[in-house]
Amino acid sequence: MKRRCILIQACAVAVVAMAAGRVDAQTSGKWTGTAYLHVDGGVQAATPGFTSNVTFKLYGEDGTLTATYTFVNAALIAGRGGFRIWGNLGLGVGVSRFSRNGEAAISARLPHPFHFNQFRNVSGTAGLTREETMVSAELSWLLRPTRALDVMLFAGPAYFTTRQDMATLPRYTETYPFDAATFTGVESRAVNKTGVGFTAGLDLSYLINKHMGLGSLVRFSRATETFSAAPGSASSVTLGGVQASAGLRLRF
Amino acid sequence: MLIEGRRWSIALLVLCLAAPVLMAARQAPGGSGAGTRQDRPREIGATQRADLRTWDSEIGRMVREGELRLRASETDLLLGGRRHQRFDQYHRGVRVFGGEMVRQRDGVETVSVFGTAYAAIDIDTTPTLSRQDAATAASRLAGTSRGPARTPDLMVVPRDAGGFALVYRVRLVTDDDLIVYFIDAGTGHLVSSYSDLQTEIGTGTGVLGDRKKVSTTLSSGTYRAWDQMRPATVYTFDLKGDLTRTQRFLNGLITLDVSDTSASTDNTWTDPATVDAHAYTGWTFDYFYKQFGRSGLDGRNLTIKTVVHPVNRADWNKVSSSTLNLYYLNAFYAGDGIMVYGEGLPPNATVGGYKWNYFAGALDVVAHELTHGVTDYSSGLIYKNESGALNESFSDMMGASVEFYYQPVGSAYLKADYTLGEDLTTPMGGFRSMANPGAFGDPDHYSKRYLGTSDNGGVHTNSGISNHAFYLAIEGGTDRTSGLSVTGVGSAARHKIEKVFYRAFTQMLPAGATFSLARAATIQAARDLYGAGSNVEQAVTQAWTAVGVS
Repeated sequence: MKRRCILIQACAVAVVAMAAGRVDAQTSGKWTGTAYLHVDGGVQAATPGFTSNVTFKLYGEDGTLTATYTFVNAALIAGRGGFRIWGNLGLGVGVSRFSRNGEAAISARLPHPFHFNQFRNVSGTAGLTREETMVSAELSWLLRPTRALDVMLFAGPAYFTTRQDMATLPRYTETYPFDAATFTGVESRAVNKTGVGFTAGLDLSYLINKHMGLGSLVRFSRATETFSAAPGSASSVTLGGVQASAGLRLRF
Repeated sequence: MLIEGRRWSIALLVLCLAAPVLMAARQAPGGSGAGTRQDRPREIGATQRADLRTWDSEIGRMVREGELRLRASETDLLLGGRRHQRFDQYHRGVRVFGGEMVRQRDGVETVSVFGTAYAAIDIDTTPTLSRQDAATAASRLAGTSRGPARTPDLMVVPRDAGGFALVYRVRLVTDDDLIVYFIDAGTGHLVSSYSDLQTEIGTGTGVLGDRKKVSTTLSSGTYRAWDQMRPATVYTFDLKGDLTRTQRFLNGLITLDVSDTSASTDNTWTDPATVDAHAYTGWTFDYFYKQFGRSGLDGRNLTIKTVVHPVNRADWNKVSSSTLNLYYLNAFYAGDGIMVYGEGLPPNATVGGYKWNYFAGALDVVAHELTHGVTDYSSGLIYKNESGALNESFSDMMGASVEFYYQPVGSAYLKADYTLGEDLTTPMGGFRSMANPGAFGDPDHYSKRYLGTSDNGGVHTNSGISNHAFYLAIEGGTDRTSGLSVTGVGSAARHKIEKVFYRAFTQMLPAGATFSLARAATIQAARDLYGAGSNVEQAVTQAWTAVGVS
C-alpha cells in the first residue's frame, strides 16, 4: 500500500512539474489569495505492526502472552487551513483522525495448574482498536501552474495523540485434566500516548471558481512511541503513515 | 494553451482522487442490509440459511455501527477451514455485560450464529461517578480496600428487574470470598454482585526438597489443603501428631472437616508431608483418569481423605513397636477413601540402619496406597494368600507406573524405577524390587512362593512373583530362577502392559483370584486390547511362564 501511494505521489509530482513547465510561459504562478481551508475524507494506509510481550502470573508460575498487532487501511477525516504569509509561502495547521479495528494475533503460554514447566499453548486473534489524531503545523509552498490548479507542497512537525487497545491477559477455557486450554479472547486495556514527529505531503486542488474547488492530498507522517501493555512490557510503535484523501477546497 | 493546461489539471486531479478510492477498495466491506432490530433481550441460535443471511446482515450492521466488536477469531481445531468469531456487544462505546455473539464460518460461508444480544438499550454512557469513587463504594461494601493497579471497568449491565444500568465492575477479594460488584456509575449504589471464588494453586516444597504445585482453597482467609479442581475432592488432614484423634477418626468415632485440613496463610506451603501427600494424591488420581479413564477410587469420584502427621515424630522411641510399625514406618489405606501416611523418624534416628522420612514423600508409596482403594472398589481382591499377594502386587505395579508417568527414569531420588519406596530412606533403600525380587528376599518364581501363614499368607512376599511378571512383560529379560527369557514390549510401550494389568485386575479378576487366574485374565486382557497373537499378548504370556505361573 505504501508503495502504491508513493507511486501515485511521484506521478503527481511529475505531472505537476510538466504542467508547471507549460504554465510558466502563460501564468505568473503567483498565489494571490490570503487563506485556504480544506476538508477531506480518505484512507489511512496500513501501518507497520508491532509486537507486545506480557508476562503474567498464573497457577504460581509465569505465563506469557505475545500479541502481534497488524493494521489494515482505515477511513479518516482530515482538514487543513492556513494563511499566505509571504509570496507563495503559507503557514497552516492540519488535523487528521482515524479509528480502526486492528487484528492482533495472540499466542500465550499458560502454566499448568498441577505441574511446573508444563505449559499449554493457545492462540487466536483479537480485535483491538487504535484511534489516532494528528495535529500538524505546516509550512506550505503553493504553485499555481494554471488558473484552475493549485499545487501545494507542505511539511512540518506533527503531534500525535493515540489510543491503542493492548492485550494484557489471555482469556481461555480449560477443563480437567487441564492438559490443554482453548483460547477465547483477551483482556485488554487502552493505552494513551502522545508523540511528536513530522509530516510532509502534496495537495492538488482544482478550482471550480475563485473560492471553491475539489482536491486531493497525499501525505506521509511519522513518529515513534513506546507503548506498555503491562508493567515490564514495552513495545516500540510507529505512528502515522501514508494518508490519501480528497475533499472540498476553499480559497479566500 | 489554457485548454491544454486544464487537461493536465483534470488528469492530475483524477489521478489524485483515484488514490484514496484505490486504497479504500482494499478495505473489506462488512455485510449489508438493515436486518431485524431486537426489541428485547434475545437468545440467538441461527443455523438455517435464511436466518444466517439475516444475522450476517445484522452482525455487519452492528459492527459498522459500533454495536459489536470482534473480540476473538479462533481456528477450529476439529474441522478444517472453520473459524469461530466472538463479538462483544457495545452500547455507545461501552461493553454490554453478557452481550455476545459467536459466529461460525466455513470459509466465507456462515454456518451458525449463537448469542445473547440486548436491544432497546437507551441509557446514557457518560458516568457521573469516577472510577475511584466506584472502587471506594465497592471497598466499603466488602470491608476491604483496592489498589490503583486494578481499575474498575465501565459496563452496561441488564438489571434483574428489567432495563439497564451503567455500572462499574469492581472485583474485590475479602477474607473468605472474591466478589464482583456492579456499582451504579451515576449514584454509586450497588446494582448487583456475585461471588467469583475460585480454587487456588499454591506452591510448596516436598519431602525431598523439590517444588510442587498444590491445589488449595481459600477459606476464611486461610488456604486449605482442599483440592476442588479435580473431579474428586481431595482433603489432606493434618492430625498434628494426635494419635488418639487419628484412631478415633479412622474408627469413625469423629469426623474431620475443612478446619482439620493442613493450612497455609499465604499459599506457600512449608510442611513437606502435606505438600507431597496432597500433590501426589492428585497426580495419582490424574494418572488413573488419563491412562485408563477411571474416575477416582470408586469410578465415581469418591472423596479422597489423606492423613498426615498421624503421630508425633518426637515420640517415636516412646511408642510400642506396633505403633512404630503402623504409624511411623508405614502407610496404609484405611477404607472409605482414607489414606494414612507414616510420620517417619526424626532426622538422626535410624531403624534397620536407615533414616526414615515422611511416607508421603514417595510417589510410588502414595500411588500404591491409592491403588488399594481402586482394588477395594473393583475386584476386591481378598487380602490373604494368593489373592492378597495379587492385591499388593497390583498396588506395586501402579505405584511404579505412576512414577514412570511423572518422573524421569533413573536410580536416584525422585527418579522412576522398579523399586518400591526407595525415596523414603537414607541411604536410598526400598521395600521391594520388581526387577529383582530376590534382592529383598522375595520370590521371583512361583516355585519359591511363601507358604506360611504370617503376613496374611505372605501377601508382601509373594507379590514378587506377579511383580516380576509385570516387569518382564515391559522390559523383557530372563527370570533368574527359571532361566526363561521374555521379549518385553519395551519401555516406550509400557502403557500397553499397564492397561492390560489394570483391565485384568480391576475388571476381570474375582476377589479370590489366584496367580493362575491372574495369568489367564491378563492374557485375555491383552487379546481384548491388542489382538490375539499380538506382541503384547506374547510378552504377557512369556512373562507368566517365566515366573512359573501356568
